[in-house]
Amino acid sequence: MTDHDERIAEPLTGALRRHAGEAPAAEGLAERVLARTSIRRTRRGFAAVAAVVLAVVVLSLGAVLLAQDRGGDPVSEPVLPQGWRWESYRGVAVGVPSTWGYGVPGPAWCAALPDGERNTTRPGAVGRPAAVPAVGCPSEYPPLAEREQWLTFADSGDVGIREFDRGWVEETRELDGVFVTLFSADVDLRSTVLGTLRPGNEEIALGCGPMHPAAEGRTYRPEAGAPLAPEDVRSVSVCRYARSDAVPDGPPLLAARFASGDEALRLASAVLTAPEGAGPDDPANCAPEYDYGPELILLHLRAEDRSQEVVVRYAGCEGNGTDDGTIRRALTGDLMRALEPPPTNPGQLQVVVAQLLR
Amino acid sequence: MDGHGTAADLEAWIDVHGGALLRFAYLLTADRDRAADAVQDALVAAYPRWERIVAAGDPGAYLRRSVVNAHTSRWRRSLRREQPVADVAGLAGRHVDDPADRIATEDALWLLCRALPGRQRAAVVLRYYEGRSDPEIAATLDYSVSTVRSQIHRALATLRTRLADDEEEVSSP
Repeated sequence: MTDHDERIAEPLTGALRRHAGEAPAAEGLAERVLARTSIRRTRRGFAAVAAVVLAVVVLSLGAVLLAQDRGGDPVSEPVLPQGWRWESYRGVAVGVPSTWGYGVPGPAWCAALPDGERNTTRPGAVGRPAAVPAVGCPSEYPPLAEREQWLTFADSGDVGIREFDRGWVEETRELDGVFVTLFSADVDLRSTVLGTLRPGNEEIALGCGPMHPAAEGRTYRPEAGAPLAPEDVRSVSVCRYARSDAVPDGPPLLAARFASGDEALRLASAVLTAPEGAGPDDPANCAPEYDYGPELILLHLRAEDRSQEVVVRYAGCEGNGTDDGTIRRALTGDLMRALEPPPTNPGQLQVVVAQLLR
Repeated sequence: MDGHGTAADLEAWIDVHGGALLRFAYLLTADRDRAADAVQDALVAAYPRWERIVAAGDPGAYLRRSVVNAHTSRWRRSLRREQPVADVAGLAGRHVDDPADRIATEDALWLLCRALPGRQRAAVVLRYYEGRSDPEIAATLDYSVSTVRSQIHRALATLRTRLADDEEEVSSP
């Protein structure tokens, strides 16, 4: 500490001590906290009744499966049109038709794509912030014949409606710091999609909470449970989070996906049979503040009678691997391939991890 | 431990440490409602894992980290709407031996603290209010010790510069 620091320390301590007296009193705090926890327990207690109600309530497939799995209260969730799904990003959720794909090229729409990628025009697509090629295209959007409806999430933007050619309109709305933009020529669809915009929660986000302690730092370990066999796993929620101190805006949930059947088995097999250990790491390649990377994936493996969290770290120079609270395992090519389906595909890989995909 | 045991254990912890956690949250947020919300949210979120958090050895550090993380996100999100820096011109050169000047300087520093980035402010509160050591702050904020030192150094430099800038503004023609 310098002399300058010492001179300011005393008045600073005095200021903090004096203003600490303005803090709320602790009376009743324990009661309020325990009351809220009992509300949570009561909501979970509705599971058996809710599962029956679910049969006639039209929800997106993921929400239905999750409510059955997790004992959520489905009646409180909004209803989407049949054949729609929820998309979540940083604490907000919006419904889109299930036929829509993933990946929006945006202003770089004219950039060449690898062979076999997106040769046909899709009914629509959902995009999240990602690196795009620095290509100067002749217009902001593709020509009519190649045009798709796009919904994009962003951390900044301009709220409003902007008109383009032939009735195509771009509308942006903002909720809790997230800017959601829909580009479409269908007025009714635009109204319906943006009308579903709402704060996200664990049920809508396919079992992924908008916040999770795994995103808060490098020390988080899941609660240890009895070993799960891959064939016991009936479903998996795949939750991709930004590390909150590396990418700081808003709740850290970037994307969620729900896997069941063969896909759940593939994911569970990949994560539960990887060799014990850690890595691959490349500790000399990162500044200390980025050593664990800017994002991670949390898997919720669900069996008939229990569930297990597994943290997957892949984006840093250190700490890569999986952790179920009991066993740490190294990343494998099988696991990284099982994690590739969008929208939860890793947004950043270290070279040593990307090499597993070769 | 069953649910009743966990509830009793958490309640006992809150009875002893709840006030300190609220004061920490208030110094971090400078807002009574936000402080109360942040502390309640942190405790509610900790409840299902309480036994494990206690077994890890330092529930206070865990909860402070939860409060800091929640506040840091909220603070960054609402940054454009906050205008926390009041006019502190003319206070840098005062003699802190004078009680009135000392209080004025402390008030100015409090206002300037509110403009510090969330994690710098957390480190400052842990050091200068709670008297924590560098390793304790590092463990609470999930930083390295060198990062803690750097955050505190930057925070103090910002406070000093801001006071000095305002003093210059006052003495300029």
